[in-house]
Amino acid sequence: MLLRTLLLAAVLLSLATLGSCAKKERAATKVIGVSLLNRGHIFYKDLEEGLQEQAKKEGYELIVTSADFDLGKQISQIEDFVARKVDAIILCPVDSRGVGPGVLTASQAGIPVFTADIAAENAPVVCHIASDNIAGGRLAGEYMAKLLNGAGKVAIINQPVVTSVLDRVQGFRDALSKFPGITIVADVNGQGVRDRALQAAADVLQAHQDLAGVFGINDDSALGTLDACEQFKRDKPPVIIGYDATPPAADAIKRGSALKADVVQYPKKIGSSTIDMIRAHFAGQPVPKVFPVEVGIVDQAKLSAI
Amino acid sequence: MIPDPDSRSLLEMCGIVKEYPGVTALRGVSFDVRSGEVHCLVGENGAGKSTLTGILAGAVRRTAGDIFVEGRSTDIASPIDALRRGIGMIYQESRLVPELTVAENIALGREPRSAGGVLIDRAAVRRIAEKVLSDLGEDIPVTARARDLDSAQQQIVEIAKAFARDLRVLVLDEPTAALTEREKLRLFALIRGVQAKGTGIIYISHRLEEIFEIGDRVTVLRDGEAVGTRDVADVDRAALIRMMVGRDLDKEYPKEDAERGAPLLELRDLSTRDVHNVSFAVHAGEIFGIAGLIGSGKVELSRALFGEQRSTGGALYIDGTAAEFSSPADAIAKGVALLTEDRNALGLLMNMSVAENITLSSLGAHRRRGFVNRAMEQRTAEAYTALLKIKTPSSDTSVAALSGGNRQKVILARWLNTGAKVLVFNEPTAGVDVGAKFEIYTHIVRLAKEGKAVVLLSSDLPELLGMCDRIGVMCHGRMTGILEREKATQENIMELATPDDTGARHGN
Amino acid sequence: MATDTRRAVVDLLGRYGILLAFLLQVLIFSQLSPYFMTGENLLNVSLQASINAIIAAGMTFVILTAGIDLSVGSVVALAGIVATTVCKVDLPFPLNIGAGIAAGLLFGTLSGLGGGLFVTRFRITPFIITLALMTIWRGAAFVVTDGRPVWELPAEFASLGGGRLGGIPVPTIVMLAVYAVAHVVLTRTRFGRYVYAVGGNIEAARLAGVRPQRILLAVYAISGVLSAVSGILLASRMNSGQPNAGGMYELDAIAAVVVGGTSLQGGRGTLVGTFIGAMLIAVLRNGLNLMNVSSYLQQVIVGLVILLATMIDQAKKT
Repeated sequence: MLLRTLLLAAVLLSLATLGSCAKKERAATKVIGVSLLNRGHIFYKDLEEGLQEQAKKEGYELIVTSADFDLGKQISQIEDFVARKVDAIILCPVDSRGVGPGVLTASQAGIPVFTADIAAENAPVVCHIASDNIAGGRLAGEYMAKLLNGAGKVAIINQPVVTSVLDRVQGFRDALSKFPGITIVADVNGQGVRDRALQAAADVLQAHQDLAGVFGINDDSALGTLDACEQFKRDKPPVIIGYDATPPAADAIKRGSALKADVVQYPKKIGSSTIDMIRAHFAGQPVPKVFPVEVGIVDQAKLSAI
Repeated sequence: MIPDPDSRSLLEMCGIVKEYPGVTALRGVSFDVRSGEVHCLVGENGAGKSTLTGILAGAVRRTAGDIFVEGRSTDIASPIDALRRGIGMIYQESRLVPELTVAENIALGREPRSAGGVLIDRAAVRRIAEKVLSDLGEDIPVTARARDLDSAQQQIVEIAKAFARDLRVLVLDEPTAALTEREKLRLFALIRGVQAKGTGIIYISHRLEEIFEIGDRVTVLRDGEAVGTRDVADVDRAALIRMMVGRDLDKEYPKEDAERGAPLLELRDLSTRDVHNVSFAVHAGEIFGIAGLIGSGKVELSRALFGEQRSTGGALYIDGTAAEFSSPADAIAKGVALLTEDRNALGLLMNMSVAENITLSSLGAHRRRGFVNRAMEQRTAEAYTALLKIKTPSSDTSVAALSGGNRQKVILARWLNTGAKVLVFNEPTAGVDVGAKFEIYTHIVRLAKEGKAVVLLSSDLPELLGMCDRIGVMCHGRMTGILEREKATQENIMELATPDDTGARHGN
Repeated sequence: MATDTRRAVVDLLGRYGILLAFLLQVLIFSQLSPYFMTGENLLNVSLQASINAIIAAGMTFVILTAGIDLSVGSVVALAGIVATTVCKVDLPFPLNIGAGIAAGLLFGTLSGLGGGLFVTRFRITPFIITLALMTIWRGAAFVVTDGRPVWELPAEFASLGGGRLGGIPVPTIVMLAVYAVAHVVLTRTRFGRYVYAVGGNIEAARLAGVRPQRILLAVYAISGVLSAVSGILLASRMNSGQPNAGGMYELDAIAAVVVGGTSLQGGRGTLVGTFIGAMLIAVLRNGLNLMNVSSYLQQVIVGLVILLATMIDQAKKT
């Protein structure tokens, strides 16, 4: 009994010491908690790089975690950040609506929350920094219409559980709605990863022998479609437009494959802009509710020029 | 059908029929239990006993017939329904929850509550359990965990559990299968006490002598029909066997003397974790019995012969050469076979056919160019089904479809086909009906005559006395004596098997 | 007589229920979609089924011993990464691809043996150890690649999964070969019989002279190496080693095995059943995609079909 009491006291004491150490350290550097959507996609690697580089410049310490598409995991990461009293939180929400309560908890604890790339709905977020996904989808749609001369059958390799993807698809559909000659004949779920996209695209190619174009909602989806096209060796494969312009996609565009163009986001820019917004907020300057980061479209000509 | 209004029956079953697809298990069986009687139910395996009790327990639905409980027509739809109507079942294997205490097991499913019905009233649970146990005249500590009890105590707790539920009819299905002689006597005393309270008891056993000890009436089932109901006082053993098998058996043990050859199995001061300094030799043509109470080290000794327990001292010789086994596979390779005490859990593979079960330990010999040859397997299986008279529709039939005696024969076939020189039989006839028992004895005797060494472990003393040339007796992990056939009696075996108070009995 | 006929029907349904369900499904899709019964689409389905079917073959061995292997999806990813990384080393043509394949297969085998060792030697339940391996290998896949796919591979690598022999996709041929060999191993060798014995009752099998440790080690190694085969083919089809490949493949494989009539309790099941199970799931996904059924609804339908197929299978046991 005595031993147990002693042990308990020792544990409590060491916890208290740890706590005071942490407090001392925080007085020196600002600590920012980051919960990314996942760390596997090149997009998030680049975004993280942008965050890290800019944070280094500002002298902030980043605690980077990944929610791996798991909302529960993300919420508990937020709770951990609140518990260790970070100075700010950056989220790439797994689910725009579902993350709301987590954001509320943090802001009630006095911690400002910033969202990058994906927005949170009905939540007290200080600033949302993201590419304009609707604009990006629109760019893809307009480029598709140009490639097809305004007529043909088009498919979407979708991942309809992510808000930014829903925006891209909405923009894409909006742009194409101005071209009555173009019909969207299929909209299938490639789950945003290359192996699943490959299977979904293969099915679409079977169902629509005269398919003229495919929009992949990210590069894994576009490259999976390209894999499928190359394996079926169509005489006239559909043209593909991807999103993000990751290195493998850029390479495919450059070598003149069926992947013709990519909407390009600037994930590093999203990352660095996020840190900029946080710095402004710390300094007491006003920040906009939404900070849009530019998007563009690249094709073979543009990539060769770089 | 209206029951006889004068009947004293607590429970009456009239014209019960049960049809399974393709098989009729019961063909209009009528059966009744009166208040305060022990009504025994006997019959060979497959005669329909378990189907009949299954219907009583609510586990099996009858196809036709009526059940009356205290004169009222009743439908028993589920095990809970059976309990609610005052019918309790005790099975041969314990159905207690091992991690719960005796008291918790007794109260299971009807725990008294406190704190507004939310919490279990643990004091009340203990009180109820203590009351029931003391009513039964037993003093098992109610806070002990079920897994720490011995088999007999577990049976008693099962009975107490049934009694905590205001029981009118108690069904005991082979309750003594796992009990020693002494534990059995204790159980019987308990049954008599229960009987005196007016409870009706249905008692199922393969051990006919028990029926004469405890029974008032006996009903014999054969092929799904009730052959007859008699007062126990009016029948003898031979008459019962005749009713069960439908013919006379001239004698129970077909023991014949065989020519004694070289020692095939020899232990010199063999010790393992549970067995100490055991020495004996079994010669070709000999049947060597091993007796001993539960916990005597009898089962552990059989395991030690089979590579299951590492030896810590002494030596083991098979056919004259020293042997050290680290697994059953090693032992089999050296010509040893072990027929385990529990053929269902430790012997047969229920997912396999009769043929596959027979060839499992000798698959290597059923290969051609590295591949298992089905035709060879088939031939082996058919040879053994003919030789051992295994009753099976075909050798492709799942072994799970066979009755107890036939299952035991499948295991026997498996070991015969390994060409084993030393065969260790552990309770080979437990739960086997009279007819099949006789056949298994016949095969054991034939094996000895063919020059094999047979070791027979049994808790059935008449069986050991009837079958063995010599009997070694185990107690506390030691062999306390070896008795020649002529000198062995139940009394001197029990004398050697029972630990004396000084604990100073060592093998000499 | 009437009951005999009914029993025969039930027996037939039990034995061939999955096959009937599969054929029924093919019939329905061929009526609903004009593209379904085309030669090219059928090859496409076989190609799509091959990755899952090869994993499921290994999974069948494991489940027959009453085990489970949750690590297969992560092994798919990491084996693909190992193979693609190794084949980028500077070696002349057949050697570089050969080395890549060998390295991928070696990784799969070692992963399986490792899992098997934990199951046999340290008595850790298969569920836990393979769950741990699933997480470890998935994490390792991201660590070694830094989260980026392995690409810019030798041109010949793509022909493994993307190529055709006599008009038939290579993965389809590999799948058929795997099933032919595995079926013979399971039904015609002593090892195969012992797999059933260990799954039926490990204690009884041991007391009958089987050495269960060896059998268990072997089945996990088989599962590992077949997952690696799938991983290499998949990497080749994507012409890259993707750290996020193979996500949830363990569930697809288990579904194929269970739909194919293999009992999770072990001891009962066939590779033919698993093959049909894998085909049934692949055809279902393909057919629904061909008909442009919404992806939300597809998940519901796939779940329901798995449930239905398993219920048909249960019917024969009661």
